[in-house]
Amino acid sequence: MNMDDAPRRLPPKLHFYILCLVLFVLFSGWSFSGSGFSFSKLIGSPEYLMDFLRRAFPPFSEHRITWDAFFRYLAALVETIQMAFAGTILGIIFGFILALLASKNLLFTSPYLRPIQVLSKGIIAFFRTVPDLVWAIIFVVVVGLGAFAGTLAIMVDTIGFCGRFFAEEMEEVDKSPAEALECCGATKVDAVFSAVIPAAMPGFIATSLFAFEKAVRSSVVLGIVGAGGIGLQLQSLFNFFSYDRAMVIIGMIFILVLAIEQISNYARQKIINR
Amino acid sequence: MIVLKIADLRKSYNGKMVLDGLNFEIPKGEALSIIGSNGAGKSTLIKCALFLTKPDSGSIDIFDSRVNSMSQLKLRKMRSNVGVVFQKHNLVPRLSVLSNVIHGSIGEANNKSMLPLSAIGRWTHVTAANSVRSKAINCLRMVGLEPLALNRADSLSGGQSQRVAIARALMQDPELIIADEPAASLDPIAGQQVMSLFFKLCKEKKITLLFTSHNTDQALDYADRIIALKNGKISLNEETDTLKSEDLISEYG
Repeated sequence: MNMDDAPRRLPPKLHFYILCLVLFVLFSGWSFSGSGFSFSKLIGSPEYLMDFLRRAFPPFSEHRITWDAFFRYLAALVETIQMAFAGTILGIIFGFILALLASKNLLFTSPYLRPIQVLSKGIIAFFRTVPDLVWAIIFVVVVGLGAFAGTLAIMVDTIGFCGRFFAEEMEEVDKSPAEALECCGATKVDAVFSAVIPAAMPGFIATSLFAFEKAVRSSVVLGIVGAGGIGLQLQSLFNFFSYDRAMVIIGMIFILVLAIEQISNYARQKIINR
Repeated sequence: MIVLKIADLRKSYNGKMVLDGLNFEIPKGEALSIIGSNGAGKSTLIKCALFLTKPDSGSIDIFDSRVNSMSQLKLRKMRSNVGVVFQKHNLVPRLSVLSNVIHGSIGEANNKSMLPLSAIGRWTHVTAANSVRSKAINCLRMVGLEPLALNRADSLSGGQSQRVAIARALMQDPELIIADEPAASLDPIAGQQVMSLFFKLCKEKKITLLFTSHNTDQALDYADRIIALKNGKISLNEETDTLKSEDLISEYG
């Protein structure tokens, strides 16, 4: 056999791949230098680290924690969950409506109505790309300090998240059952609700559960900018160097987020396997 | 009475003539089979007849009204009287068999009322009126699947799915059923069973039938007349009594 017949060993555009690799390495080095990354800072000042750990452990020790304070944290934690849940519910509802308008090849296929579809997609993209903390700052200005601002921030963030993924799930569904229904006298709306949405439902539920997990995690930090929830307590404890009490709150957050993730994982498995 | 009339129908894709001036009509109650090799234009003809594809020229009349010049509203109204059975049954997978059959009556609900969302109750069987549900059960009984009414559509075998699709078409009380290779995705036994059931029901209910097929024996057994397409033209148009299997095989050459 002639060696020329053998399959080529190296990809055809080798020099291009090598160029990409070199650029990647250079960009990484540049980024690390810009981020002020320093091993000596991280491990070179053991007294600060020891100070933090001594104050933080064991939790409760330095200022004996009262039941009173514990229940205050618990109430703030409950408020955090309420914010996350209410914001997620509102976000799912409005996100679903926007996703219906924004999906390609779904409702607005005629050229006159296409601008509505493009505009809805744009709104979703805008809601998604502005970070939740920024929304929280804006809503604190608009509706004042407290849980309502946080709920609105989570709602807007969830609209962006659910709007995008709901729309993608509906776009990916096999459209032939919907076309079959339109062939026997159904309107576009009939076809979407009786054929596309039932097929996309498992995706919708999985996305909604992810949205709730995400909302719980972000509602924990929204308090830092005054938008309600347990973040405010956490920040003020750090300001007063009460690291031991802060550790209690961090532990509570850890348990909450882990529990929510476990529950939502379990629910997702159940739904996907159904 | 002529149910479907096609006159000088032409359609080309990317400069290639797929349908090159077809003329034929189907009288009421007749079963007409269209045969022809792959690419002969069968599917394009079906798509034009259902107005899923716009023909380049020529006319399609269903029940004496011109499909080409219909408004969306009139087109929907016409479609609600035409049952369609696809090669791939096209059921909604996660809904129950009963809901899928009830979907066949969405068009009727839209015809009764001009209001938007007038078919909202028929999106699933849970919200459908009792009369609609019992009619759907009746249609399922005709195809022998009444016991599976509450099973999910994606739990059915291919033959069962196609029977549900037939029940969905019957739910429309159609005067005409258009079927695009209804047995092509089934194994020979299931295909035989489903087709004989399908044709028996159409004859009983005096439903006019237009179907495409690759199976010349099935076409001979069940159709009253056969049209063969070759390169977008009609190469044969005869009653089945005068035809033999060999005549049809030669059409594929």
